[in-house]
Order: sequence, then structure tokens, then C-alpha cells
Amino acid sequence: MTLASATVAAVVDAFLVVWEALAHVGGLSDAVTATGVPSWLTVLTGGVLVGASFLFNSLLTDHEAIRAVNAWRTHLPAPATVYRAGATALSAVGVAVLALVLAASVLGPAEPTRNFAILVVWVGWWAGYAMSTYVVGNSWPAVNPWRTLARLLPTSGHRDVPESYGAWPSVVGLVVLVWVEVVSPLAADAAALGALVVAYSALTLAGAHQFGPRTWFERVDPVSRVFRLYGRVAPVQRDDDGIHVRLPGTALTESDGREERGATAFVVALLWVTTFDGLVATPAWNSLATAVLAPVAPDTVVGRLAVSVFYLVALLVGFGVFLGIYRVAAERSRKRVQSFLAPSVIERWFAPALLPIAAGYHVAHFIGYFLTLSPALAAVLAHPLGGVGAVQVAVLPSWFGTLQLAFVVGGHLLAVWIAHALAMDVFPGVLRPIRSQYPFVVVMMVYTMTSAWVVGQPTVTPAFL
Amino acid sequence: MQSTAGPGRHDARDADPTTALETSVRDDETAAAVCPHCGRPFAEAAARDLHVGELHADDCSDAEREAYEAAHESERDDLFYFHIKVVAALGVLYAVTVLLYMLALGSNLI
Repeated sequence: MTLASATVAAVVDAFLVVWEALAHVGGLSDAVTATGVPSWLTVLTGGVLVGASFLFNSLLTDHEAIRAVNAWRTHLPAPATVYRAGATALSAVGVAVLALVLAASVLGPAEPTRNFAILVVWVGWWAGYAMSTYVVGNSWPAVNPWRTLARLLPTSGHRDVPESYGAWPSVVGLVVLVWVEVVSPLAADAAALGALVVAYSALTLAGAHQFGPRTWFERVDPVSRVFRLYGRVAPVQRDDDGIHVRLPGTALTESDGREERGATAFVVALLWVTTFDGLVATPAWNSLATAVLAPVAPDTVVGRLAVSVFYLVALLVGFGVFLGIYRVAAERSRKRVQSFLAPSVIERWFAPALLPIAAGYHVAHFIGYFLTLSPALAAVLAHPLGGVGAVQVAVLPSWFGTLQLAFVVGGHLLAVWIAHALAMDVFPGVLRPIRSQYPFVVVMMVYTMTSAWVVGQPTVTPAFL
Repeated sequence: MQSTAGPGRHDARDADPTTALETSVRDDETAAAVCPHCGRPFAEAAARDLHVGELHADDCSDAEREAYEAAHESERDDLFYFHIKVVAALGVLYAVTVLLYMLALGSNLI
């Protein structure tokens, strides 16, 4: 051994001796163990972060600078031929996937984690593709296979959907779709899923035929509306000038000019159904459902009907509660700044700020699901009609729960920023926009904490389903 | 922390959608001031003055511009005290959060 290495060894030995001694000082080494953060504190921290972000926002008074940040964009060069070729390719992929889903629902293996239809619809499309609409951009108008088919089929004379109906048909559609998805075994039964896809295709193509593809897919179809709304959170935006990249969420600060009745209700409904999806898988919900449905025999026809009605009532009551809370918050906001804007105007004006919350909750809820089943999805994409060997799933690291919470909080932080920017445009001065946000921030803090609690709960199969 | 909610904000949009918003003054409310350019009612004259200066900057008369400047200055004073409260609230929030974590992780109290 050289002198240098001997010295190093001596220093290390001395250090270890001191370290051992310190570890036994005061006898703390046995008492101090690494504890996780208790769940109530995690939930509370989510609310604190949202409240703190509002306080930080209220320190920013340079409205011109805020507007400049929100308006920033770069143009993506997209020559017409490239654009149209890309759109055509996406449409072709959409139709091909639809055809394969229908084929696999009938011909594929019964096991859900090996069936192309189940994995592509729930993991690939409803989780993965939906995430792409708010992380990258809304490509649904091109990918939508029903829109492609509706354009190829001849259309009849166009009936009109009355203006007074507004967006309400799509609200009804969304509630019905989510209800059907929750109460029927679509997540596990490929044949049932195939039947739903056929029914949806028939209804959509008939509607597009009767009312014209544009009216149908822009006003009535809930799926297209969901992706369009999610798309406004995304960085890649398309308008008459071409394709731009902006900061995420900033497209929400620009009004898209529509004044549809029921558009606000749809946004609230989207938020509610995303929460509902997570809520029905919690143990607390299970206890409630078991208590309410105790006298019901789940295997009889009456029993199944009772379960379906129970979940529909829960869906509608929750939607009503969410809408009521939003209306109360908007009313209190109006009172706070003594504004004479019509309450419906305030509700409509701030509704876009709810979309980052929905997106944040969606990614928190579905990213674990998507990543866990992504190996199965990849396998099934290679063998659409079966022939996959053992199903592989990914195991998520232990810190993934914290990541999901971060997404929920992140959605709310973006929402606070967007709401502040929206308030600046509709209330005069600097203090009034800030004060107008008090009721909304309180609601958001409560909602963050509730969502954080739901995301942190262990997942159980919803009762009676 | 410069405070500018100033004029000249028509760049981002072609047609400003905020000047044609529906208003409703309820029976138990009274409009103390109305914007002479777009007719929007306000509960305080200061609010109307700020609105005129921000949204109708190009059509302002000199009197309206002076009223706007006055309202803007008065709001800056209020903003100063408001910001002090915000910073205090942030400090308290931070301290309480850190204390809660210390108690939760480092003791048997909670």
C-alpha cells in the first residue's frame, strides 16, 4: 500500500468510527425510522399548493406581460399537400382500427388482456389517445373514423338542430356514454364492447346523415366535443392561419367566440365524469353502494336494473352537485366585485379554466393504467386477432402515486393561471380580477384535496358491477 | 411589481369579445355609473373609469383619461397594502406547512 492509499484508508476508518458513534448518541438510531408522509398531509399539501399558487399569481400585476406570455406562439410550417396527406393517413388509420376492433370483438380471444378490441379501445384510445389530445393536440377531426365514413357516404337533406338546444344533446350523450360504460361489462367483455361500437356507429352515421357531418360532429357528438375541449389545453393548435405551437393551456385564454347554451354544462359534466370514474373504484364508494343496494339480488333482472338505476342516479346527482357548486362560485364571484355582468356570462367566461383540471385528473387517473397495460397493448397491436402468448404487464415504481398527485395539482395550478388571465379581461383594474377569483380558488382547493384523496385510494372493483 | 392594466390591448384579438357581454342589473342592485362607449353598467364610478381607460383607450376624452389615471393611482395604493397581506399570507402558509411536516414526520404527536 502506498502512503496515499494508507492515508485514505485511515481517514475512512476514522470517519466510520465517528459515524457509528454519532448513530448511538442519544439512542435515537432505533427510534428514528423513515416514515412516509401521512395521507391526510399529502391531501392537505395539494390544497395548500393551489392556494399558494393563487397568492403568487396575485403578485403579478403586469397584465400586458401576462397577456404576452399567453399570446406567445410559433408557427409550424405545414404546406397544404403535407397537411392533407397527413390528415388522410390519420383518417385511414382510424377507419382501419375501427374495422379491426369490430373484427377482434367477435373473432379475438375472450380474455380481456389479450383481446385487441378491449385493449385498443380502453388502453389505446380512451387512455392513451385521449392523453395525446391534451398533451400534443387534437387530431380527432382527422382520426375520427365515423366522420371519415360519414363524409364518404351520401348525405340527405340537412335537418337542423335548433339553436336553442345548444350543446345539451352532447351533454346527454356524454352522461349516457359514461353510464353505459360504468354499468355494463364493457371493460372486460369483448362481445359487449363490439355491440356498443356497432350501436354507436349506427347512431352516429344516422345522425351525420340526417343533420350533416359538420353539425353532428361539432354540436351533438359528445366524443368529438370532449376531444375538442381537451385539445384547447394542448400546445399544438390549429386555426385559419395554420398550425401553431403555444404554451400549454394558453389557448384557453382566447375566447373561441361560441355562445352555445349548455357549453358550460358540458365542461362541468366532463369534469364530473372524470371524477366519477375514479370515485366509483374507491372503498368508500363501495361501502356506500353496498349499504344502499343491500336488499338487491344482483343476479336477477330486477337486481341488474336496480344497480343500473342506482349508478345513473349517482351520475346525475353528482353532475347536479358539481354544476350547483360552480354556479354558486360564479355568483359569489359576481357579488365580490359587484359586477353587473349576467351570471351566465361569468359561468361561461370561466368555464375554460376547468379544462386543465379535467386534463390533469384524466392523466393522473389513466397514466398508470396505460403504462401498466402498454406491453399487452403492444403485443396485441402486433397480433390483432390473437396468437399472443403470455400477457405481460408493466410494474410501476413505488413513487408513481406521488407522480399522479403531482398531475392533479399541476392541472389546478394551470387552471389558477388561466382563470386569472380570464378575469383580467372581464373585470376592470387589477384588484377586481384578483378578488373575483376568491370563490373559485376556494372551490379549487377543496376539489384538489378531494381528487388527491380519490387518486390516493386503493382501487377496488365498483360494487355490484 | 409594476402595475399596468393599461390601454392598447387590442392586439391579440381582432374583435374584442368583452365589450358586448350581456349584463343584468337586478332589482336590489343599482348601477352607479355606465360606460358611455359600450353601455356597460358598474356599481362604482372608479370601476367604470378603469374600464373606459382599459378597453376604450382610443376613444377616451381627456376628462375620461384623467378619471382613469386617478382611479389607477388610487388602486395602486390599495394594491400595495393588498400585496403586503398576500406576502404575509404566503409566509404563514409556508410556516404552517413546514411545521405540520415536522410534526408528522419527526414526532409521535400527529
